[in-house]
Amino acid sequence: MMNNKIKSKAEIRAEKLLPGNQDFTTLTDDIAGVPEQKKTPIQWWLLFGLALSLLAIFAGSVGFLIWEGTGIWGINNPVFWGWAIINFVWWVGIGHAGTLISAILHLFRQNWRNAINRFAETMTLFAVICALVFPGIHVGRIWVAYWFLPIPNQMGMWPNMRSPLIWDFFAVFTYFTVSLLFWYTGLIPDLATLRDRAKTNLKRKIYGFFALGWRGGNRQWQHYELAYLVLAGISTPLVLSVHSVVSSDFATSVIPGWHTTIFPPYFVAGAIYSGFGMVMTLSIIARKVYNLGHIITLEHLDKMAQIMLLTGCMVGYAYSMEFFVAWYSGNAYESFAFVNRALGPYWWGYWAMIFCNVVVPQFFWFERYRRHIPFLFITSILVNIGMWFERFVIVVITLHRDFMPGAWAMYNPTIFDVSIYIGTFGLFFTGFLLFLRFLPMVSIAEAKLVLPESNPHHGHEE
Amino acid sequence: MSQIKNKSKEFVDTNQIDHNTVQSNEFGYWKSLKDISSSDDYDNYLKQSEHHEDNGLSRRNFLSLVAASVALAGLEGCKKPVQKIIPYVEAEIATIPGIPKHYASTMPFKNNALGIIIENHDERPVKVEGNEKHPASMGKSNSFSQATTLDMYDPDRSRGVRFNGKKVDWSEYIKYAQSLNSSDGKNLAILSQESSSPTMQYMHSEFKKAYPKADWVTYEPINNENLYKGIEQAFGKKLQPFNRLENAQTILSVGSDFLGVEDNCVYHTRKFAQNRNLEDETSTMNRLYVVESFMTPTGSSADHRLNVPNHEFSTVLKELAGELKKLGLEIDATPMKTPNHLWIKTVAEDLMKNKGESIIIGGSDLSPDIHCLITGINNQLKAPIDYYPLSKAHITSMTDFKALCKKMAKGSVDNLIILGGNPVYDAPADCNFKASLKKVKASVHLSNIYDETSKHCQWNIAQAHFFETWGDAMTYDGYASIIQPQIRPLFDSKSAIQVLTPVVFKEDRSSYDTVKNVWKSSIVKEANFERKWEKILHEGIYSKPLLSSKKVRIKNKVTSAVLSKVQTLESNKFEVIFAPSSSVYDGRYANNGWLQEIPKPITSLTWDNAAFVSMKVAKKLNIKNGQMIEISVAGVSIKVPAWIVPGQNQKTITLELGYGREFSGRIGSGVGFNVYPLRTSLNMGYAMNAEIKTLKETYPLASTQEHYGLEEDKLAAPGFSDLSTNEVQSRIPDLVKQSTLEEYKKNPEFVQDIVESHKPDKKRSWADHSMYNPEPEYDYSKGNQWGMSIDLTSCTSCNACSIACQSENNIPVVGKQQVMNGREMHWIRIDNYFSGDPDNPEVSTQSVACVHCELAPCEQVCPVGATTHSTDGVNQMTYNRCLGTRYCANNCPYKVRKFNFYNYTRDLPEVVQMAMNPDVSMRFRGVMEKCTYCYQRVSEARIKAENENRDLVDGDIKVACAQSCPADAIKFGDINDPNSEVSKAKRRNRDYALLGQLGTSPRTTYLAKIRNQNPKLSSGSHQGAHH
Repeated sequence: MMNNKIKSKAEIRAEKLLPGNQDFTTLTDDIAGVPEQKKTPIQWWLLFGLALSLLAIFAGSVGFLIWEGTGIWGINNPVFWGWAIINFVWWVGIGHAGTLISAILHLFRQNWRNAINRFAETMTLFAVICALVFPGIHVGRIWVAYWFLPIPNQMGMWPNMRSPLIWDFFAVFTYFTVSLLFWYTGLIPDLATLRDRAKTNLKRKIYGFFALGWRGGNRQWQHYELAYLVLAGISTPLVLSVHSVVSSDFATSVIPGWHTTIFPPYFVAGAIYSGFGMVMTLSIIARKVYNLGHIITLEHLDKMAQIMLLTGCMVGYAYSMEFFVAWYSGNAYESFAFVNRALGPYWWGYWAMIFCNVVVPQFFWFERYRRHIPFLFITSILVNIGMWFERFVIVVITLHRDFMPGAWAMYNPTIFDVSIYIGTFGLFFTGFLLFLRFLPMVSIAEAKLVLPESNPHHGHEE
Repeated sequence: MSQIKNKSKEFVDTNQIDHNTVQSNEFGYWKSLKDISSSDDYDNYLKQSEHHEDNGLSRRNFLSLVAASVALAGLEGCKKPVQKIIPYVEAEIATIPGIPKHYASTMPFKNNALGIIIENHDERPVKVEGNEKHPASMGKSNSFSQATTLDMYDPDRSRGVRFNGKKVDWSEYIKYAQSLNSSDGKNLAILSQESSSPTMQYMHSEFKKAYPKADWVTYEPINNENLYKGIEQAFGKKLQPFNRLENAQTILSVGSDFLGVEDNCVYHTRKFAQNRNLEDETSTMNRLYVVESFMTPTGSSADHRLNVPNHEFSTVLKELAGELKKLGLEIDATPMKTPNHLWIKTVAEDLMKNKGESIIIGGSDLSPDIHCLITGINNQLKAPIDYYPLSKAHITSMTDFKALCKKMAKGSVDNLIILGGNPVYDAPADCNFKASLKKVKASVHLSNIYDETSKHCQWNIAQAHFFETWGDAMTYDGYASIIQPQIRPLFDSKSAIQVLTPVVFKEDRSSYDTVKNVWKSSIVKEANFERKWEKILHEGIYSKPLLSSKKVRIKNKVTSAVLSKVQTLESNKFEVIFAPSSSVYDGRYANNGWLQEIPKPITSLTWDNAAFVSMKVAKKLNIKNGQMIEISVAGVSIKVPAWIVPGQNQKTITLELGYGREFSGRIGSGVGFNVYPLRTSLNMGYAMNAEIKTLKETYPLASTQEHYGLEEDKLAAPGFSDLSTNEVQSRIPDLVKQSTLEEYKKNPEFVQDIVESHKPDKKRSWADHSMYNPEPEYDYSKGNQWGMSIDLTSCTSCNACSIACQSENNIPVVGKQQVMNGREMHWIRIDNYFSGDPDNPEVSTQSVACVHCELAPCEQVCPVGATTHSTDGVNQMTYNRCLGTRYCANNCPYKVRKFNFYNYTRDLPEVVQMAMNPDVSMRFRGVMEKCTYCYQRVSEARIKAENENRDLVDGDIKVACAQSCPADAIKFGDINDPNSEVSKAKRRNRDYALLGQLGTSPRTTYLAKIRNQNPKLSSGSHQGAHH
């Protein structure tokens, strides 16, 4: 106990990440207290009501879509893909932060992630659900959408494995499955905590059922940590592969503006970027509503802002490389596709993307902005607007003018493009709010890891 | 069957309507009133119809009757015509279900005839083809004849006979006709449409015998009267000129759209294109000069085009006459010099150089004086024109028509029988036909649709479509043929001959008897008539012409003095040109969805007409596309949306006739703007001194192609508005490869010169670069491999192919709103690109359908394998397998795939369903479709060949577009057969693959466009931006 007076590095970090005098008890009380609230806060009800209304809009719009056909959207010849695909890519992108935070940062022992990983994983799950809606509903004949699946059948029909859409389908579905498992595995100790603290029999039974008999014994922890590590290992390549595969929908085509090799890394960077944007938005709201400023701290937000700065610069680099390559190739069609993005009739879409994705995050070079909550909040939303425009640029601006000017046309979205997009927020937030109400939004077990108490060798680190 | 028939009759009978309303009973054949369509037009119709269902027929009742009648319509329609003799073109065999039969018939069009072959499926005529044996068709056709199938099955057609709105029996009309006997015809008049029918001629003479004092007036809103008058001035006799373009090397068109909507366009296009069919750089081709005031398909096909307003044509001709005089023609003319001197001088030299093989064609709207001079010059040039007598045709006489109107207005016409046509709508405004018609005591109107004229007539008789009736018609050069009914009249309709019969003979006779008698007594006049008759029916043409060309002599000296009157425009005023519409003609095809939706040549407009203005005028008057403008001529004004068209003369505004129909069924009513109110009999071609006012309102116009640079691209970033224009300009040479004949001779392999950036790596072929299918899965050197070649040199963008394709492949009509949203379904689209001087641009047109890539980007990306490649090289679309991800269409570099965004075919009325080709599946909502190379025809021919135990030979398969193309620009066949037409075409050095640099190896390739520019002019008036 020689160095009792000198604060260990772990202690310093813990103070940054979990300021104030927090210990295991206070942490558990603070976090588990939220789902244990007797009275649901009125803000929650308001938000849930809003989310449910949006969900109703979603259901109504999708119903009408199934009834009438994709003609209710603004898609046309040559812009055969519109908001549905933009939204799909956008939601998948958002879904990337979860795994990145959970898996990669876990592998890199970035403990600051522990305050936000549950959040991010949950967000991932619902974002991927929102994303998966679109490939299902955007097809012309929704009732046969299951033909995507390789189901052995008497007609001998089989999906065309050369089609990137099939790769896409498998990639996103795999991602969803692994993310779900990862999320659930992480939840097990917390579910057990909730079970143990439950005041009613019913709650105890439900939490107990999902806690899978967790007792917190040493052997259990050992197995658990290993399983978590393995899952993190499995998830890590997925972070890179999912959006790479999604990008191949475009990259393997012949259309100028799509046919580029830069797409896979550029899509992954963009996905992480937008994912962090969304985590930022949600955590700022949650820490405000539930007074969790001492758990999701400025330090966490600062770290996320740094990652956003990095990925923002990566997409910015990709945008400029696209132009360079288009020019360097000397291919007139390719060059025009990019010039048309910046200066064509949809120039506003391109410049909205540049502003939100490239210009705005440059403020994060300065610590002041990385720790300025209103600025972070606005930026995180702008980033997601920017990322939506990125997909708009890729899908619509590319398609509306490709090779033959005789087939060029403008694209105008309809009310149903908008309503289905808005509606997916209903889907997302309904799920997310239910999560906030019934499950611990921060991983109790992992948050504790940051505390000096959880480090048996504290003081001897490094 | 008789029971069923009675029932259906009952249904029609119950459906009585108020005389003054739109045909509410015409809904009988729709499955459900609500299902028809949601568009406003239909809704209005529904509202109107609801008002008049009160004659003991509630809506509920009505619907239940509809349900019953739906089946009946089909049953009745599937009946064979009553007359027994209908020989088959092919060997007469028993009907085999599913095997179509082909009958020869004739499509009458004004005083001309087009020989056609009609394909019948189970006694339903579904497709029109040209008749190879017919001299005006030569196996080819045009968009009107292709679309006429839909007219036949128009559910809005009138039904039966109605008197004052009440359904009456045909016998009532016969009684009425017999009652006409009381006078000697003094108060009787007949107003007919133009026709060349020998039977109608016979009826005319019989009518004259029966009613010596009665009038027979012929009127068409678009007619050749001025041409005939001009010829009369020149030769002393009204004659029909017949331009033998096959013998013409230098052609000058003065305001004539002879490759477009002017008469005999199929023949003209065929023979014109024949002399542009370049084998290689050593071949010769004709040269076309066009003087015109607005861009037409003819002008866009021209090698040199002079943009002059109509009223200045006389100046051009005077100058030309002067030049020709200098070059030695015996013309009384004084040389003059206008700014167009070089152009005119060069044309004069060219005309003289090819004397005997040069021709001037004047537009039918030109004044008789101009036609007189043109005829004189042609005569001096020994132009290849034959002149045929007009005595056997009914042709328009405006003098007679005006006299009739006056007589009617005075109240001295008691009985007027209008045999087709719609004069209330299309008569010149100064004739006051509508007001005059009201003074007529009893008027009979024979019409296919309850139209503007029907509304003001006591008797309405449903007019039979020429698929339903016996008749005959004759070409300009006297080749007569029979109109054979293909089907019993669907709607209890009658032909003009049938309507006249009780008037003339006081008894009802079948049109079959009438026609046959005429042919027996006055045409064939040979022994063994029955056999001859059968042969004529079989072949669709009587081999001996009824007319012989007349030797002509100029009456007076050819002089340009006839053109002494020079019209000049007042300042800031415009010349307004009235042009026939390439879609609805004079309004007669207004209810034809195929024609309404086909993008018009040059403008790509659908579903509307517009006032065409030049770019400069648009800029000056601040007119944008779709901007409403008010056009006032002599106190009358109309409001029309404007459309900016390159090549439009700055002093002119062009208005298309035939739109703005008030009563034209559900498709045509209220579509476009009626411009007839401005048209007077003084000059049916154009009106002078029109005032234009730009209005604030705009009107949405549905164009299938965006024409960049024609107006400021509003959406472009400030300062960069030329971005798209420049890009399109730079792409034209790559997409529509073209050259002049002169350049072509110097560089025969010019199609290989591709833009530097697209040059492939010399060491590797494109297949090595391709990421699709690096190892071909199938050896395409075996078996039949289908391919197509499209010659851009002869294509005139006439749309015949596109409508033929629509008819053959059951392509749905989607309506204006969908077209505006870029969802038109045509498998063949015709791209128009303009370059050079906006006043006189070079037009590059290109018809694009699926090019059937051997390495198809679409096949690779379909997640469910719905689009695949056949072993004979066709890119196939399996509709049943398609789930509609639309990925294939996105990845198609040619953007030729069409998607069923809605269920466009579900609500087709039963009657319209009869027009559908049973060999081709109807596509449902959510599936992709595109050109199949008419695979049903390939299969049909293959099965036939297999049954006959032989290989397929070239010519066995004719795809719909190739078959209809009057320019014969499209060749289809087996590319593995070195002697096939298509292989020969593809071996030409002009052959190139569209976007070939992508490595898609398309099976449809193009032959580059060659313009035969005169070296003396090519540097001056016609600078292409990209040579």
